[in-house]
Formats: sequence, C-alpha cells, structure tokens
Amino acid sequence: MADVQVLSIVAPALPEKYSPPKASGSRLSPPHPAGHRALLPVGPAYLDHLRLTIHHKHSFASFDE
Amino acid sequence: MAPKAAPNGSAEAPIQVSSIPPVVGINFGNSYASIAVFTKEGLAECIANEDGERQIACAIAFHGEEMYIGNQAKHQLIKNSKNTITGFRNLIGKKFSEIPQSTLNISAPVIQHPDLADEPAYKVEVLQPAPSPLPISHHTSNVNTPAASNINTPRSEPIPATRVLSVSEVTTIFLQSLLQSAEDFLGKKVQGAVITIPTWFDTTQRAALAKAASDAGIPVLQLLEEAGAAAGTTTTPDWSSDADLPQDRTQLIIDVGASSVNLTLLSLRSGLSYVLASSTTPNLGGDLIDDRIIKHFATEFTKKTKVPLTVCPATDAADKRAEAKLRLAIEHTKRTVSASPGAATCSVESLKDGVDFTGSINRLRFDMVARPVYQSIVDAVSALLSGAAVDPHDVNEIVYVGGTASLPGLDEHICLTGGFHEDISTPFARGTVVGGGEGDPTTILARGSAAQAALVSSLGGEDVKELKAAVIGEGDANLVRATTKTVGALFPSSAAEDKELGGVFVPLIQKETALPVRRIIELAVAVPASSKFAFELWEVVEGFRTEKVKPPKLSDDEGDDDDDEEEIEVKHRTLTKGTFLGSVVLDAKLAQKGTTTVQIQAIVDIDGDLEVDTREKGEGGATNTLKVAAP
Ligand SMILES: Nc1ncnc2c1ncn2[C@@H]1O[C@H](COP(=O)(O)OP(=O)(O)OP(=O)(O)O)[C@@H](O)[C@H]1O
Ligand SMILES: [Mg+2]
Repeated sequence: MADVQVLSIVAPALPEKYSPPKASGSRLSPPHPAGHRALLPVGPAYLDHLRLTIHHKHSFASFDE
Repeated sequence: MAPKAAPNGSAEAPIQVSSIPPVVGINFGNSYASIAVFTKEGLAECIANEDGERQIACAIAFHGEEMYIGNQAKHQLIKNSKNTITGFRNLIGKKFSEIPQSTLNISAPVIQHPDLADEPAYKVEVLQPAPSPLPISHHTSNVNTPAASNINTPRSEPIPATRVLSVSEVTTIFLQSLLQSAEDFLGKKVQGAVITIPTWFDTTQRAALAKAASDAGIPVLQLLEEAGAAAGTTTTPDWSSDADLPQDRTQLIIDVGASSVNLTLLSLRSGLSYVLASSTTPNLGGDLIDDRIIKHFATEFTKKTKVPLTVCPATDAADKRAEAKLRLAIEHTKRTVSASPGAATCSVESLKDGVDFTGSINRLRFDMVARPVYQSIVDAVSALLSGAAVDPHDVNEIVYVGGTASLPGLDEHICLTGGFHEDISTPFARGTVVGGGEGDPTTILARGSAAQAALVSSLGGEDVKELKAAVIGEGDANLVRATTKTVGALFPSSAAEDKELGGVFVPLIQKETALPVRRIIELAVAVPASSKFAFELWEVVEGFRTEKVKPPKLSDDEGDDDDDEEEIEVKHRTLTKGTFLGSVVLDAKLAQKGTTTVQIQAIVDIDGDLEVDTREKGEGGATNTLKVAAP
C-alpha cells in the first residue's frame, strides 16, 4: 500500500445549486514518451519502482500482494 | 589491521560492529574525496582519514622514499610539485591523445606511458629502498677493506629512480587509501561500496574507474552519478521531515567544486527522481575564487611589507612559490569564512624573501572579492532554467553540493539575484549547513552513496539479479514515460476567495511524474444538509501572473523622500482549468459534526489510463470509481 498523504485542509461544503459540468469524454494529455526521462537509480522508491516494473508488470494491485 | 584510534567522532564506533552495515559511500571528486559509513546510531556520516581530514585532497606525492596521500600530498605542491600528482580523476579512462595539452597543470605533468599505447601516465622521481644488504659474509676478505661487522649492518643508501604510474594506477593507490580509512573506522572489511561519478563520464570512463576500484580491492556495488548521490541524501525522511518540504517537488542541485560547476534540475516525486535539465560549466568554482583572494592578500602583503609580489599569474619563481603557499593557506581561510562572519586569517611563514605574512578578511569583504564568481554561477543557473523553460519560481528547493557551495555569501547572492521565490527552501535558510548538519554541502554525496550502498547490499531474495542489473544501469528499466500535466480534484465552492477556479483545488498527480504512479490523499470534506459531497477531476495549467507594487517605505527620514519610487514586480502562482476529466458526486454515509473523511486514490498506469477511487473512510462509507481511458 502506498503512503497516504493526509492533508490538513477541510474541503468546502458543496454549494446547494451545484451541478457537475457535462462529461466531455476528454482524456489526459499524452505522457512524455518512454525514454524521454531516465530515473536516477537511487533510493528505496526507485527500488520499489523497479519491482513494480520488473516483477509486477507495472500493476500496483499485484505489487501490494 | 587493528583499528586505529579514530581521529574524529567516537572511538567506540567499532564496538557494536554487528549492527553496522559494512558498506562505504565514496565521493570521488577531481579535487577532493570524502567517505561515509554508517555509525552505530544508524546514520550515514562522513569520517576522517588517519590525518583527521574529512575532505581528502585527491593528490599523491612522492618525496624520497615517502608517498603522501591527501592533504599532506598537496603540501608537496610548494617545493616538490613535479612529483605531486593531482587532477587524475577527470582523466580516468581517457586516452593520452584525448587530453588537451593546454590543461594547466601545477603538478606532475601527464605524459605518454612509455610502454602502453596512448595511455596517460605520470613520471615521478622517487628513492627506492636499496636492495636488502648482501648476506653477511663470513669469509674474511683478504683484500684491504675494513672487516664487515655482522651486527647492525647499516642500511645502504636508497637509490634514486624514476617511477611511471598510469592514471589508473594512481587512482587505485588513492582509492585504496580511502578504503583503508573506512576499514580502520569500521574495524572490519568493507563488503560493498558506491562511488560517485560525474554525469559526463562515458562508458569507457565508468569501466576504467570500476576496474581501478576493484584493483584497489573495493567491492563496487554501483557507480552513481553525483546528482543521484545527492538525491540519495535529500530523499531520506530526515531531510524533509523538519522542513515541511513537499514529497513532490522541483529541486535544483547547485554543485560548486574547485574547478567546475554542475547544475541539475530534478523532478522529485515521492522519492523517485529524474533529471529535467543539467549543465556542467568547466573552469568555474573555488579555484577562481582562490585567484581573487590570493591577489587580494598579495596586494595586502606588498602594501604592508613593500616586498613586490605579482600572482595569478605569477611569472618568476619566487612569486610562483609564494602563490602556491597562499593557495594552500587560504583553504583554511575559506573554511573559516564559511563557518563564521567574523575575521578569518591567512598566515604564511616566509611568504617571499623570508618575510612572513598574516592577513585577515571577514565574510563581507570576502564576498565582495568573490562576487564576480558568484555572479557567473548565477548566470549558469539562469541559463539552465531558461533553457529548460522553467521559471525560477517553479523551483521549490535549492540543494548545495561541493566545497565552494559552503559559502553562505554564495547562497545569499543566488537567492537575491537568481529570481527565486523569496521563501525558497535552502539548507542555509533551514540552518542545516553549519556544524556538519545534514545540509552540509561537503558531505551530501558521500552520505547519499553510503545509504545507497546499504540499500543495494541488502537486496536479496529471488529475481534480485534483474533488480541489481537495473540499479547499475543495464537494460532500459530506468527509461520511463512521465505525465505532462498536473491532475487534481476540484472541490466546488461558492466562496468569494475560490472564485478563480470555482472551488478548492487539490493536486493528485503532479506533472513530470514517472509512470506508473499512484497517489493517495486523505482530507476532511464539509458536508452540507443535503449530505452530498463532490469533486471534479481536472487537468490544470500552472503559470504566473506578475503584479507591480510600490515597495514598502523603508526609512522614516522624509527629507529625501522620492515619490516616484520604482515599482517592483511581484509574482503570483496561477492555476487555470485545463481539461475536465469527470466528476464524482456521492452521498456521505458517515458524516459527523458536518464533515467526513475522504480518501482519494489516483493511479495513472503505464499506458496512461487514469483511475480514481474515492472512498469515505470507515465501514460502510460511500465509494466511487472513475476511469478515464488512456489518450
Ligand atoms: N568550507 C568551505 N568553504 C569554502 N570553500 C570550501 C570549503 N570547503 C572546501 N572548499 C573549497 O571547495 C573546493 C573543493 O570542492 P569539492 O570537494 O566539491 O571539489 P571537487 O568536486 O572535487 O572539484 P572539481 O570541481 O574540481 O571537480 C575547493 O576549492 C575548496 O577550497
Ligand atoms: Mg565535484
């Protein structure tokens, strides 16, 4: 399980007349392509990333087991 | 070998040996090296060599039968420079023909190795111990010579000889002395080491260093780029815990050594990091500051004593020697200037013509003399950021590495003129530099390397081979895809202060984060009478708005008050909505006193699919899963 980052804010109450924007079917912006960035091979987070990549086919669910 | 009394820190260190990982981190610079091991408190700490030095000069000198290593060797630069070897780190793995002959060398010149093709080497004059005396003859010579005494045979005179050492051999000798210091301190054999390398080392240089290190008997676990070694220290929980530094941040590493400035802009994401931009500026750093300070003291010397002295450059032999003496002496002066704002002295016995010199300089004056060098460093920083299209205000943290970066005046100058946010986090601002604190620029690389050595050497279990291969840079597991925009949750609000976006925005996944990524946040949400809570998922665009404001009045004397004082620009961060990705509307099941606790987990997988799981914390809470397919 990844670390949970606990925020110290209280999100505001939903305004009475709120209605969500219409779904647009939009996607995320395309990521930087593979090879665009090279991780620095250092630290526990890097090893976890490697385990995820090498042993768990990038799946967090499998990694958590 | 029995552990020597450690000149630094606690002499008891080797007692609880079993709990200390037998590893060492080695920062191998071109000018200085440092070594870190784990103390029994479980901290990676720089240790001193047998001469009590934590910053160990990368120098080897031969004088007669003696070989000196470290700062003692540097002292040989005054009278015995032709037998003193410095600057070898940068030459590892290079061919003789690749080395610019213009390379200014105050020490033993680099020559073509007499036996190996295109191999750089050094030639030094040494005295070799005489071959062991001939076995004592029991025959009495009948020639007319004094009878040999068969006790206390006097040692024969050592024989002058020349010795040729390749760059790799020199490196091996030097690294071996570092290993010895670490083993003396630990009281046991080192079983793993991580050694730093500059970013610009190519594969040939890496291989040559690895070989020289293993020839020295060092079990090398990893050659780690300096920026990586720095990150090894700055991503530890200790580093950020007391500083309120966000886990996801943009970090600028400013490494100022003796002869180069290395800048690295890192995207740090929950301990995972990659380089956004980097640069190396050769011939900028401590050496240039030295030149200016030496000139300053030389002028003072002449003024005080009327002995003429021309340095940097010096032409005649006496001036050259005086310059070399000053160069050595100001090492101490600079360290004092870094440590305290008061007067720092510089004393040289018989600086020239038998006349002694004692001068002093305080921090204010030192910074004035060094300012042009500080400014060149700021210029390099500005060039890096603008080349990467990164606004200085986007940098959350500056980290200093390297001896020259210990100067508080440099930090001041960078913060004042670099265009950074006034609250930018630096180790000086946090007060972690002085007294060898965790922000000490001279120890960061070695400590990060030691931590990495402990981590790698603890790897075990199955499939460890692939992990280790990736760690040493084999294969392409380090090449990653990464997000380009920040995604977060916008909690709608009708409050006036939230007008710009129509709500409170909470980032989930920052731009420049390697895939796959998972982030989980937890926060309280106010729940109205309708008991509904909701957020929208947005990709946002981050930017800046500048505002011109009149500076606050500084003085009370109204006499020369100038009404049209220049306005100053103040920068504000801006967020604008980019792409709407979906919304989550839920009925709170577990609200208490008008709020409920919500956990949001966001995952962008390797293909770019986004999944956001929302869960009201507690048994029977509301849940939702929102999926946004890959672009
Ligand atoms: N406390 C200090 N204050 C100011 N300057 C210092 C301090 N400690 C060391 N230096 C200077 O820092 C320089 C050495 O820095 P560092 O050890 O980072 O060098 P390096 O990385 O080996 O060198 P290079 O830049 O040549 O590769 C020297 O000029 C030294 O005089
Ligand atoms: Mg360096």
